[in-house]
Amino acid sequence: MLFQQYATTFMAVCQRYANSADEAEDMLQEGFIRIFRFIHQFKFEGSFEGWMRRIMVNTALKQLQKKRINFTEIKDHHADTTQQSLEPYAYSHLGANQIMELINNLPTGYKTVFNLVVIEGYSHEEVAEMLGIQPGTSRSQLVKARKMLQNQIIALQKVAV
Amino acid sequence: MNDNLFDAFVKEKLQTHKAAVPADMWERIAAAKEPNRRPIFIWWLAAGLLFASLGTIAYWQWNSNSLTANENAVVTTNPLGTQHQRSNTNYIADLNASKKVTATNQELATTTTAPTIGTNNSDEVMSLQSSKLVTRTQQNNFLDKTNNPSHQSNNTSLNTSFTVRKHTYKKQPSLAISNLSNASININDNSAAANFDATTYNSTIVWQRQYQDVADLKKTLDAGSMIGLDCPSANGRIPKTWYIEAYTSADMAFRNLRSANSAYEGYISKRDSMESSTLSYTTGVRGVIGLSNQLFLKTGLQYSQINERFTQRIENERKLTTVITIRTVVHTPGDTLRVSDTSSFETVGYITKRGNNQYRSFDIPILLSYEWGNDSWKFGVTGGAVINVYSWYKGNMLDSTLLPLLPTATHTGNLYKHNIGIGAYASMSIIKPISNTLSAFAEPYLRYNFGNISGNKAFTQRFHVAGVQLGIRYQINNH
Repeated sequence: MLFQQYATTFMAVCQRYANSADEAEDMLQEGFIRIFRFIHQFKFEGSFEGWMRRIMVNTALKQLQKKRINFTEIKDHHADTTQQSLEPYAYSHLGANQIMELINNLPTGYKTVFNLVVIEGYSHEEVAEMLGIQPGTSRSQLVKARKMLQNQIIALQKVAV
Repeated sequence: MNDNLFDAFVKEKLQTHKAAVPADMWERIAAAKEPNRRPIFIWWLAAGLLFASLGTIAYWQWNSNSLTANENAVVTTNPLGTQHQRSNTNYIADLNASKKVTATNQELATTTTAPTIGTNNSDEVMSLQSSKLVTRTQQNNFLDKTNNPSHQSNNTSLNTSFTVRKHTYKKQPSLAISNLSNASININDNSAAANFDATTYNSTIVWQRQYQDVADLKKTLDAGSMIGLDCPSANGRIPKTWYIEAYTSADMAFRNLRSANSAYEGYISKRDSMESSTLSYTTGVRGVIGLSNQLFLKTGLQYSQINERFTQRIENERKLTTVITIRTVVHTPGDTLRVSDTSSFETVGYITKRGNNQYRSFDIPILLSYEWGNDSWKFGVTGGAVINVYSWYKGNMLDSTLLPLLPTATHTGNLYKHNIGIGAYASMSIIKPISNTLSAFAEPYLRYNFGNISGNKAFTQRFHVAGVQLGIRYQINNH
């Protein structure tokens, strides 16, 4: 059954975009309703899972946009202190759940762009069109999101030490 | 380079990541899928109601004209006084006479072909009511004049008086009946003889004169209303005027929200502070049937959307920011120490959540409109009922714990009804004819809903709407 096969995967997708568990459940519910409603429009071009994933992501974005995502940059006065990129050994031990937590700690604008570009693989131009922002804003948000994420990982290391 | 590695690592970890799904998720999806079929059913229901309404109106219209048609069919068998009979039957139809009276007329029209009609009719006249007497006597006179070509000129004048009478009585039927009764008294004494002699003829003249006086009097009294009278077509039927109107209105909704008991006062005040009306709209199409020159029946289908702005301020939002400072301390060449300082701070504030609530509905208006004016401007007053066919809601909603439900229609499906019943409608309109068939109109209106839209017993919620409709009216039949 379609739902049983993909529900857990898409629940993880929704959780990355949502700001709460309830919101993620609503995104999943609405996404599956749309999938069942428009399934006859699938033209067997490309992956069926990819098609469903796009619907799920678009549903999540639609719900987020109702809350008007703020894409203004957050002032980080200490940003220039982390010029160096994080070495792979610093994060290689992290599990998926930990990364999910770190991503969910990001501001909604950062998180949304990071998810779309890094995980879904959309280009900045595509993201700009989807979110109604400039491509430059998307790039800037990604850099900031990545930096904030890495800072959180370093902070985790310090706690562990 | 390291950023790319970092991105690839995150992607690898999360792309196939799975998360637990609530056990009742499928039930919720299945339940949410069901209402999608409902709008199709509602469309069919709305179409059925519309056709039923139009069918009823058409049937009623047809019946109101059928008497005239039947009478004309009988009259055609009598070539002697076709014009008189037509006027006569039109008069009866206009006065909304009973079928019994009509039947009597048919009988008379048929018996006019009999050569011994004079005697037979005079016997019957005595037992008939006064209004029938008029008709019968009138018929006898027609026969008389037909048998005597010398009366042809009088026949013509009588015909003229009938035409005027028809128009006059159309406007004042009750007065017309009383006048007719008076007229028949003069005739009755003479028609008892039932002979087409000079006495009878004289009585006819008296009747004609009196009747002409009545017509003149009515013409004087109703001089204003004589303007623009309906002209019968060739077959004697008065053609009905049909219009179609398309309109859109900018509306403002007034909400009446009350708690069912004092326990929910806080809930009501919270909602009042969070929800405010914004510009709403209505759009629709309706057919207009002219019942007379000034009275119109309107019905159709319209879509209304009431918009609300939902604003929620969520207090005590806390945000933890962690700052890591890395510095390198060089004691001597080769002796370098890398130091990281970690600090964090918490900020407390609030976030504002905004959304739009939408109350949507399909309605069937059934309205009666009275219009007056001239060729340049017309004015009208309209009143009637607006029957809700289907309504639904989408937007944010506070639950009983003052927390907002998420903005999906499914959450609020049981909080609001899908049918809000009947509302009263009242309006005034200004109509500007643009061409022979096209007019533009503006119609300020008020809609008062009697029904409560909330399905929840904790509170009652009603909307009343005021707005200004702007639209065009197109005349379908141009006669």
